[in-house]
Amino acid sequence: MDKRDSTNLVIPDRSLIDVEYDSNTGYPSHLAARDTPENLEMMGARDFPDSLWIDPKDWKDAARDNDKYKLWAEDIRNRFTMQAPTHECTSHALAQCFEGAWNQQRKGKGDPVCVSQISIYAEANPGQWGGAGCQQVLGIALRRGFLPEPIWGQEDKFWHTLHGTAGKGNDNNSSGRWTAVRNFPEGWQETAMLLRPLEVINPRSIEQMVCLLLHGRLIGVGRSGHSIPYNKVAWEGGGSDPMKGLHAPYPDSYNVIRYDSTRMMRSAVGGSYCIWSTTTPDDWDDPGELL
Amino acid sequence: MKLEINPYTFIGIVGIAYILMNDGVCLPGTTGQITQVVYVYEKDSNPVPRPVAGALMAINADKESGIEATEFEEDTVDGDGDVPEQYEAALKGARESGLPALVVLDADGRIIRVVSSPTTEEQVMEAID
Repeated sequence: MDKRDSTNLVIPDRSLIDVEYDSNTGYPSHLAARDTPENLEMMGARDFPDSLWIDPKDWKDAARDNDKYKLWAEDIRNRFTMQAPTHECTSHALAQCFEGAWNQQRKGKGDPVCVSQISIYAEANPGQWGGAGCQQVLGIALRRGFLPEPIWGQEDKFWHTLHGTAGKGNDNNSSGRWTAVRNFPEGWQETAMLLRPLEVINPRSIEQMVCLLLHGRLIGVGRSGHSIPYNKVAWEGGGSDPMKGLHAPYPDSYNVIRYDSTRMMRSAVGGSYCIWSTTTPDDWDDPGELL
Repeated sequence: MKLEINPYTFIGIVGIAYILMNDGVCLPGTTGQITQVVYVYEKDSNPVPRPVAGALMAINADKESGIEATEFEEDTVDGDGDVPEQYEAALKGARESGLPALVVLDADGRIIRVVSSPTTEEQVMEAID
């Protein structure tokens, strides 16, 4: 057996666990207070379906299957995004959740779609600084969708695009000036309607979060002032207790994989969400309906 | 009456048989090469079995297969709120068979075969063989 599978996690640097930022990344406590399961339900999110439940005693077997078949959301992640020094964290986490659900439906990471974080955040916080709520940005995406970024040839696949972030960005996350919604490209709403989350699940416990991660979806969460997308679970150390040594890795919007322990995961349940499905094009090769 | 087959007729018969055996040409009432395989499901009844999902991933990873392998949750829609055109035939075929089902189609959206409730990699691979 591969000693580096998900049941034998090796975290190279303990400072990568349960990271809390001193500076504001965009999820202040007064906005976090609005992110509750009850509010998410009112937005149309559905309860966790019984059919997706996996008994905790079977979690490690399911995780090994995911390793074998490369079914984790992490396995089909296309990129990091880089938000520094902005307050866009909730939109960066949301974009990862959307792109992961898209790829999971697509069953691979070829011909992905990369969505613009600022296309959501600019509406959530027109003042640019101060952040947004997890459910606030999710609600915007559910209602009117994302714009795609002008990278990887997407400018030739969609009528409208918008750079990803007003932060630093990276080779796979385009950067540009702060752009108010009124300055989005004319007619942008038509393109954004093609890139919407459809079904959102409302996890009510850490166990439900783990089940959804084992099904290859991401969980968007906000905790300790920062919003992140869990995209896997892994165990550091053996043992039969499925909660012991459990960690949730995530691609942080600072070009790095970090890890949350069960303590931090529990604190994140209240504002969490899972995008199960997204709008799907009539033709995967023509996601912008140009033809 | 004596049946005579000249060399040209023989070559023609062999050629047509070869084409049909290899799904190379579509004649009326036949189907073409496999280009799409879809696992159609309703998640409130069941998720995609891991071996099936793994097989779909493996098919997509093989760029030379010429086959697009995806999952489709039956309530999924396009930007206009309609069933995406690329899944109309698969969804119809799966519903007639009963969900979940693996539907194998050609480039014209014609159903080649439907496998009811597959759970293994082998069932997926046999379906596209």
